[in-house]
Amino acid sequence: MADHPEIASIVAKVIEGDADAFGMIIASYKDMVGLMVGRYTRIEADREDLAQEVFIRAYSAIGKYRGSGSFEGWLRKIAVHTCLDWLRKKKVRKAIPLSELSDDEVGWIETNLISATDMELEDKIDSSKALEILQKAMEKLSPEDHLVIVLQELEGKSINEISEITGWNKTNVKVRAHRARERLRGILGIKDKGADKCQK
Amino acid sequence: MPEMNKKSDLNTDDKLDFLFKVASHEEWTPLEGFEKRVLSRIDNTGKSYDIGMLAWRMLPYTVAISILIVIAASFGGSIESLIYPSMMDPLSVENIFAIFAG
Repeated sequence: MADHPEIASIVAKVIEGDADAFGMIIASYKDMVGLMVGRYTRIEADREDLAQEVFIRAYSAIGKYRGSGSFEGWLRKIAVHTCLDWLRKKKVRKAIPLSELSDDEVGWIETNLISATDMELEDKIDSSKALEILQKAMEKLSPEDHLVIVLQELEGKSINEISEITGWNKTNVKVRAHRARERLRGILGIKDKGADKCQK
Repeated sequence: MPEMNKKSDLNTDDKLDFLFKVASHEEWTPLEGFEKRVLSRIDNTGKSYDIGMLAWRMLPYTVAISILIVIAASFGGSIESLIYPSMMDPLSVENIFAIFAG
């Protein structure tokens, strides 16, 4: 997604206190932000709250946007840090109990991922159900592991990009990503590729 | 448009990767009036910020006034003791203040 063509002048108006101009920013980026934050929570109300929080933080910090990089990249960074803070708070409060995968969900994994090599199946599988199961499993990870899985696996970010967004060094990101994957594999009961092949 | 997974070397032979790939297709449509709700929260946050800033700026004056009240109360006690000498307790702090205050 490219930046809004008039983003520089819109940002200038917002800095001058034009709230309507910020409304244009929200309208342009709300889908992107909503999609991003939706990878951290499966509760619709939390998703809306998180998306709102991202824009509120962006509004407060808009004076710090220098205009050298893309506005979208800047906003994404704010979204990632907002989500990480939210995950950390949630972990401390333990407001939402960590739920186990139900028998139905385990069955769904077995049924739908059994033919993982079949590319034609990809479009037929219910993506919201897949994300729901994945989020349930990711809730068991630490906030940092959850973040790194979302960035690397769902958003397709490289190690360098994750390092830049989070401020963690590349080795740390690599190690964390590997461990998080293995933990997730254990939670979901999905054996690694090598083990699958051995079984066959 | 849903965001696609950009990993070109995605190994779909792995069930976990396949799950990631399917889950990354998810879309979201915000509820009606999302912009208005955000702008309203910004407006409210701004008002709270203004009240906070006002309280912060008033803090030195509040502290100064509190100190003056404490000093005045000390002297007030001493003056009272001077007016009613029969009630004086020679060992009380107020009376010591009164002696120094003249």
